[in-house]
Amino acid sequence: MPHWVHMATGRGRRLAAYAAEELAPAERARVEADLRACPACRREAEAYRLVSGTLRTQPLVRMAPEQAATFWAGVERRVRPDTTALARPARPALRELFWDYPRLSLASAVAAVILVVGLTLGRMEVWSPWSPTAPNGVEVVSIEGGEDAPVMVFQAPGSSLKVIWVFEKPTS
Amino acid sequence: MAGPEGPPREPEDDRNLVERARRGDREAFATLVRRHQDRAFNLAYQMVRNREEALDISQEAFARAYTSLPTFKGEASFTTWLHRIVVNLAIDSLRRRRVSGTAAYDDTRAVPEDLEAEPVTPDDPATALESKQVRALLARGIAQLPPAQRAVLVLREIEGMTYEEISRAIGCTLGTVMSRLFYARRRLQQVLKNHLVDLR
Amino acid sequence: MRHRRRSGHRMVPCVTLVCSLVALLGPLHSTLDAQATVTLRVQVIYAANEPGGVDTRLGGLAAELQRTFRYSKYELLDSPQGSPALNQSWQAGLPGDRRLEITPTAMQGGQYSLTVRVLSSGGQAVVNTRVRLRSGATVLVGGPSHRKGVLIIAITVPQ
Repeated sequence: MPHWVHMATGRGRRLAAYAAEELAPAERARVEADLRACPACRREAEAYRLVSGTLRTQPLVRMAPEQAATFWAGVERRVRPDTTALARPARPALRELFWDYPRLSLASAVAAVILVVGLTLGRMEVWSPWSPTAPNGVEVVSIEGGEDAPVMVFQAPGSSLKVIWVFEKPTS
Repeated sequence: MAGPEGPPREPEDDRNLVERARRGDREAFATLVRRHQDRAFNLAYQMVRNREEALDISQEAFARAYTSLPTFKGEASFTTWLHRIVVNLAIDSLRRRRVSGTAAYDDTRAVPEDLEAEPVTPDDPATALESKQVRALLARGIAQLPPAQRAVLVLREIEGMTYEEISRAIGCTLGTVMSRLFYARRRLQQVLKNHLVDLR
Repeated sequence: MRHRRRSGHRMVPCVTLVCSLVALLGPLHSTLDAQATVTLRVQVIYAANEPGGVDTRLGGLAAELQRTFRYSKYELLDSPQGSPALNQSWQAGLPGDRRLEITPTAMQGGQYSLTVRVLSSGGQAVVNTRVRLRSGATVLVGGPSHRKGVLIIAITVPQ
């Protein structure tokens, strides 16, 4: 049977699965019979076999030893809310921002003044429209845990409740 | 033979460590991290092909796993659950790269770093060279796969997960897993087929 | 270097101006709604993996709790209510010598801004959070250990 017929009848999928050793014995026997009759299919199977075989036997890509040694510390830093994560760049100090961007700083100061005046005297409607991230009517604006008590916010799939969870240190 | 401390203890299984971690035992979670960090890093790397990003993603995945422990229902294994977080973070990262248009890392051009760490060299240099070329071609091919196909391929062929585990890890049907895997394999075999004549 | 110093000096008056305005206008803003009160309804729930099932007094909240967590027991321990004025703290006792403190800080158009703290027996804040709730919505604060499980505190501003 011509190769294109094999491909058109969905045998391409079976060929890929055959090469990856994912077929049941009966199915595998049928594919092997097809392969005997189709040289192009044999080349295709060979390529699929090379894909799966090479990927499955390649070694794990590992971190550098010093990265592996400090991996947990990096995770802990991300969990504690008051710590900057390892991979994120340090933020410049406010003073440096002022000195490096004086016009921007001045514009920000002016904008802050306008905002304060508007909020207080003009009663600007900053709360509406309601944030699209809070369809259940709850928005967590800020959160802090105690010492050794990290906190997190979550909402389980299928639930309408937003949860603020504190991980208290277990009392011995 | 048991020593004065008693018989050697079996390593605590993941389920027990998770339960202890849910009750606030950080050391239990630290044990889970040390046990699974290499695989998490490898998975992240296979997805994003950049060591710094893979480190960032794998650490972030554990941090999110830790803070999401109360919601871990336990129907899947901890590994499957963790892999889901890693894959989702990696896919987000890949999509951000494409949206920004100015990837810090060019998937298709850079030398695949994992080729530097070769397994035991076979006696035949020609075979070794062919193997290296095949791996380079595959690495390039994987880098060109859409994120969803890449995820399924990596989880199946590199992590060795079953179809059911992949379906749970990625959150899609078995049919979708099989489809994506086939398309990913087909693209890679097309890359190799064009070069098999040159290699042999 | 000289340019930086000049820029730095220019910024100082701007920052001072902003701070002065905030200081002057802040109290003005908070007195505008000083007399308004906010009704709070709190349910203090004990959740654990032990026999006991779900307390029927939890009503509709029970189903949501079961969708959110995987505990086998939910028991209503207490349901305090209060109506503090804006910027006035309201407290309720919690098991384990803890206290729950809620301070409404703003209200506008059926939306309420609350500062919620859970205080340990020593007075330290175990959690300190600011939330915005729509009237009728519920937020959960959970995690403090109690007996064999945890406390989950459901806070609602009723409609």
